[in-house]
Amino acid sequence: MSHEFLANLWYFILALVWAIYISQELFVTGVGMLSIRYDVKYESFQKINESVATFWDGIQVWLIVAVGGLFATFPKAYGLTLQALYIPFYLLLVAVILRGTSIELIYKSDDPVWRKGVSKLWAVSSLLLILIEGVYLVNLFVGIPIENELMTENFLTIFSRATLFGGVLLVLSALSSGYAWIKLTLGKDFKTPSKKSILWISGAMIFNVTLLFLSLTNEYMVFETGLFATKPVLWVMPILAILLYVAQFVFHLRENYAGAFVSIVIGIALVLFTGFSASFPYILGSTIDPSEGILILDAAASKHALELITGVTVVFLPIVIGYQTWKYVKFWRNF
Amino acid sequence: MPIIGYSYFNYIVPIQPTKIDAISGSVPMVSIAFSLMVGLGTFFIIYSGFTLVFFKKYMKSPMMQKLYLWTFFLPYIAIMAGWIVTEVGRQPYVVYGLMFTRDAVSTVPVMQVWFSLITILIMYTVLAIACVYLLKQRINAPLIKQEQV
Repeated sequence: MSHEFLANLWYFILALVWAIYISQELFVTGVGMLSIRYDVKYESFQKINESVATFWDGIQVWLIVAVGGLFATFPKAYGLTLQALYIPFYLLLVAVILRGTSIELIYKSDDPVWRKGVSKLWAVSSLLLILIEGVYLVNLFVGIPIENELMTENFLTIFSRATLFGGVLLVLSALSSGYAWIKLTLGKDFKTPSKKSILWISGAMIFNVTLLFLSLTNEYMVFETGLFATKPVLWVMPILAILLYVAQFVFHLRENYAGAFVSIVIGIALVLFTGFSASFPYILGSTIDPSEGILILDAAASKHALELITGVTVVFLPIVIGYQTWKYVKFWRNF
Repeated sequence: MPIIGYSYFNYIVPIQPTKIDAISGSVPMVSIAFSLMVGLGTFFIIYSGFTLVFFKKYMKSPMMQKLYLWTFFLPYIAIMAGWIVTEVGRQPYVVYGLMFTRDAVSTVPVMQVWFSLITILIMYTVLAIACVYLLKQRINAPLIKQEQV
């Protein structure tokens, strides 16, 4: 296998890992955010806490795989993103730590003040976590202001219109899939926020995903340079993503929560694949001058390193995916 | 078979010679940390071995049991001393023999590093206080809880 093929393969694997991670993380953070509507004094809070408790820590490992895989296979891109996006990454780390500790620690004390404080921390850190991930991912798609492999501007420039659309899209998707998850695991009769409020959220998501794609097209022209320019068949992905977002609204309207959940999972995966294939020849584009961006092949690790890590991944990735699928089957409605 | 003390030096000397110099006295911080780590480790082995062998005596002696209570922080000190040996002893390299620490420094603005350093210190302080608070509650709670109806 040539070096170029391995580098491109790893770009695809990283996109796949991000899609697997985000599509699972959505419902965990969504349930976390929705938990702010429940009082920790009552049993209902404990139930929704338990409904994600068996899943969140395993899912979080995918984030480590996504970032660690970038380190192993594209060390240059890893160094540059973590340097340029130092504060967002740091805040992501804080959110990950606080989310994990708050889920684990809510019931470790009988003190009502403790329980209330920690349960609110769960909601706030979930929001922070998924928002930053959205902003970060759209930044990967559109690129950051880099010149001569150095960040030239203040890190606040990463909060552009498109990236905020990305962040808000993930937050809204999380709320919608978290709502569907609660309904699926705890039964349709479980007391939740009203159907009307979730319809507003899932309706807003349709506009949000459309605005994200429009912003990517008009402001950054990512679809004119990447894979989309040469392979028009790829337009299926963004169009299907929008259709799936419409579908999840319809499913919410008809109270088919399994349909809504699956639509969001596949929809967000398609949004991510659209973004990754739009920025394809560059692993990290430059918003200043496209030629300053970092190419996948330039950032890739040596051929030997890639061969080694590909061998390990080919064996273990299917095992991990299989195990995770088994876990969902095993723990389904087992609360 | 290297068991305790300095006998495994022979294995490290060809790999990181300057670290051995630092441990044997050229950098006082490293040599003190190394002695502390090895000293504490030896103490743990001897003390827990003693407890295992003379377990009946240990169960009857309040003084020995209290000694366990008052040594709970020593493993933490031993771990930190070990890291000082690893990290300070490796200087000026960050990857031994390949990359100097001064070459590995990133271009992240100093203010951002200060921000992260201070906030992470605050966060870990809060988490440590929460941990002590929970531990104290757990210790003070009666062993068998009354059923609450």
